[in-house]
Amino acid sequence: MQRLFEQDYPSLVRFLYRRLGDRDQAEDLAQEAFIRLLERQPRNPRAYLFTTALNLVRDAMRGETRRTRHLQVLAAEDHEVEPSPENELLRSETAAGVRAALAQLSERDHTLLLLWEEGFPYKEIADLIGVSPTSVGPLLARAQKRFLKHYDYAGQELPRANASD
Amino acid sequence: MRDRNFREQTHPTEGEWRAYLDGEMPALARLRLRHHAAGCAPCGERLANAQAAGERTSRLLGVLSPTADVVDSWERLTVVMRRARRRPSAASAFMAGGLSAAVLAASVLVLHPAPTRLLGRLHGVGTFTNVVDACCSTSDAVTSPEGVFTLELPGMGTPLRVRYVDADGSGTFSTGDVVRAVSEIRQR
Repeated sequence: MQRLFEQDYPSLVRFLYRRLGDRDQAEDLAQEAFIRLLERQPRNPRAYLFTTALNLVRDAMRGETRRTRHLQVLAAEDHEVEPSPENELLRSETAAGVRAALAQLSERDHTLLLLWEEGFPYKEIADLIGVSPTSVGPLLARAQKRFLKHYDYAGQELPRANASD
Repeated sequence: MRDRNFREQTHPTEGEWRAYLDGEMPALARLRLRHHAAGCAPCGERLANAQAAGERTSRLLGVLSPTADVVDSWERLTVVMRRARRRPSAASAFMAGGLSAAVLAASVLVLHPAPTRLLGRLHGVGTFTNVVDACCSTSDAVTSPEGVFTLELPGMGTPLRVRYVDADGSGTFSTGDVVRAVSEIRQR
């Protein structure tokens, strides 16, 4: 079990962090998913973990404070731009842009991209998001397009949004 | 393959190129697509665009990569699991679950002094006026280990909803299971 944890915990936290935009919450939910895994001991632990994580995300996002919290995290990042090396500044801006682009996607597209990035095969992605395996390729192609379009569009506005005080 | 009559030919879709790049195509189909891309300039371009889009998406998502302290997190998890193992048995969990459980215990003990006897009676459908065991419903093709049933007893004013974990995987509430929560069902 410890090996499974070492193997999948970082991936799960990363997935949840990208999904929620809040690192503390991501770690909490990842812990909860592992607790449930230990209780249940399914045949496919990785798929079970991410299924549980998705359900936990949905529960978390049903709360009234979801959107507010997400926006607060985004806003906090904007204000976290301190005097720092140029590449750190660029990374921070990029991260904010990526989060904003992800936030523009539908829940399905958002989840789809993150699962793809985590290396899930199409069959498991299909099971996790509730589509047929043959749909995954086309859905992914469209999701990537939309994500990049939103990111590029936000990037055009970035210089104005980041004008210093 | 000729690209002269592009519209008349069968060309892979964007989705197929994506699946090709992700290694999700059967071997024969992969071969066919690769051969097609080599002889069809527009499709070769589509393939290149799909590859670039995938790489760029991956690169951008990679910016959001928190470092998880695995060792610390594992220690925290083991502490939580040790506490969970010291959790009381189903019978006493019924008693100790909180205010709602206390209400249940108080109302039930008047009629059934021994919680274990109560649990024994819970196995049988028809013993109570309304027991609906909704354990282990499937959702997204994954079986949930949690079950819910409604408990109504003669003389008990408010029905109670009992949520439990089907620890023994029996599909119904049994003494091997752990009660998670008990709540009153508010009557309208």
